[in-house]
Amino acid sequence: MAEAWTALALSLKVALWATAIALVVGVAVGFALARVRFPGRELVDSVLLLPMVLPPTVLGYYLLVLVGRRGWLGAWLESSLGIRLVFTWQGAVIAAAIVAFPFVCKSARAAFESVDAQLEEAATVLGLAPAAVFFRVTLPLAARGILAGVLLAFARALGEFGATLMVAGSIPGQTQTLSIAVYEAVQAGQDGLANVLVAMTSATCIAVLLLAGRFAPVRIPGRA
Amino acid sequence: MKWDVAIRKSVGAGAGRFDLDVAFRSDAERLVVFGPSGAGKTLTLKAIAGLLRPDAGHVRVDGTTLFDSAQGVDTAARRRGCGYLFQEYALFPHLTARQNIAFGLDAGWRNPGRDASGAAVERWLDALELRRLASRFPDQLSGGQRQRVALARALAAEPRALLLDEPFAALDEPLRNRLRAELAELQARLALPIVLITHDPADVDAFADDIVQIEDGRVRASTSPFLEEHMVPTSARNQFVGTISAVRSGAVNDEVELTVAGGQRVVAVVTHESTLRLGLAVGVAAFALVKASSIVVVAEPASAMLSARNQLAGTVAAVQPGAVNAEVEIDAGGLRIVAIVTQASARAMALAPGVAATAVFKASSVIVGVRS
Repeated sequence: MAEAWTALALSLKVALWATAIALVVGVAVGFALARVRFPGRELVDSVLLLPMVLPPTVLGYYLLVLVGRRGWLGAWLESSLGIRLVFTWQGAVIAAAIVAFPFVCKSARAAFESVDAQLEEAATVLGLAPAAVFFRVTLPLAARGILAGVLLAFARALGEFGATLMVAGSIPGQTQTLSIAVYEAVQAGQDGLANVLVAMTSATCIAVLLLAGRFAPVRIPGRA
Repeated sequence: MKWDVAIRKSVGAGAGRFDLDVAFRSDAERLVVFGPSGAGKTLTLKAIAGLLRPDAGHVRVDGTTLFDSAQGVDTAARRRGCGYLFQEYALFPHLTARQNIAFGLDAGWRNPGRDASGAAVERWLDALELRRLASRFPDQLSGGQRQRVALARALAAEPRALLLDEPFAALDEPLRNRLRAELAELQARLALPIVLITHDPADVDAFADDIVQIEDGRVRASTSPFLEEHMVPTSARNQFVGTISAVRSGAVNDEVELTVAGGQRVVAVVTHESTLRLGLAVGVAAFALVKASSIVVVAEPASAMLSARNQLAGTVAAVQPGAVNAEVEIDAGGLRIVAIVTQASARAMALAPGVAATAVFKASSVIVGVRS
């Protein structure tokens, strides 16, 4: 039972970190895709969508090549900064963040594109610098759309299995998240534990959805 | 010079390419840029506000250079201090009327709260009768109310000038008439230079001290002859073509007399600077523009008791009733003059074809231009 709680806590920690990273990066990239015109914009958009369609194992393999101990980024991180990502919970965060990223990025781009550019112009002539325009007009008006993406991203991060397993492995208490623990329990024939884990996962997901409904931004009157 | 604008800008490419090349100067407090949709009016206004960067040219408002490609001046839109009223008002939908009005008072990263306050906010809530609507969101306001909130938002930021993009286009007719009058009155009270762009001749009649007519990205007519060689019709309803028969110089202003159709004389007051700039002199082929709404119709033969310099006696040729106003055409010895009066006045004066009437208008309401 204790290991179930451990797995849940780890899952939440990993998913929250992953969602936070996906949120910041996804909103920034989504904004750039929506507002900045550059050649190859749609190609970039497609490439960024890859984590959504690639099999998680393929993604995990890519990650190992990149941040593995002999990967070119991983080797540099370990030799110069002493950071090791493989078989750590931080590695699980990276894997989950990449899988969750497209959900935020895609919905953020759509949300930013739906914001009337004239409102940004109105804010500009009223004396606001670009950053202030973003935080006072663009972001609040895009918030609902972004939040929808964030929820999907969190759910996806929470359920992440394949890439996490390849990058972070299945170390109980360190990298064994709920979804991996379920797999391990079933493999080991521990049906009782599997039941608890599955119930826990389901309850967590329902709680997340309920919370999201409660904390959704104030509805703008007259708008659906 | 209140307005000194000369801009060139190409937008789009290929078949969709549009070249804007407009230049005008005016000393009018209320300048109307008039032209059909797609003429480049909004682009011109955005270039003045700094929302569009011209390829070349300059923008000077009230003597301050906001943009000059030759001097490398390009003041950021947020520092130009131009109030801008967007066609659909562009109110922030996530903020209440009060928050919208307070929006420009603080340029920080956080929006004003629901209880935002301050002298400017309170002043404009009262001045534009918005107090009971203060806590409403834009979607809960009618078209006219939205316009007033947008106006209050622009004015609260204390702009150096106000730029209005088709301010009445989104409103229905009766409301349009009322808000035109309100805006004109507000402008007079604040002495704030205004540029209004429109495709509606009625806006010109109701509002313009000076007109710039643009079409297909070019200035077609303006009262400044160095912009355009040939005189072409403007939206002012009365366009009297004639020859200057006298120029009387004063200390600041000069009085210019034109002899127009039917041998009638029209007197105009222009600044001495304009006389020199336009080369106004006896014998010069010129034209006079008078808005129909600037003309007062007097039933009795005009008396010396009126201060207006122009009193052209004649008979009513036609009366065309409208919803609120009537259009009266007077034949003054061969000169056709169109005046707009209220329906009530037309009825009270029993204006009908054949009735004796005198068209009276001030010399300062006449705009003079030179024909090439």
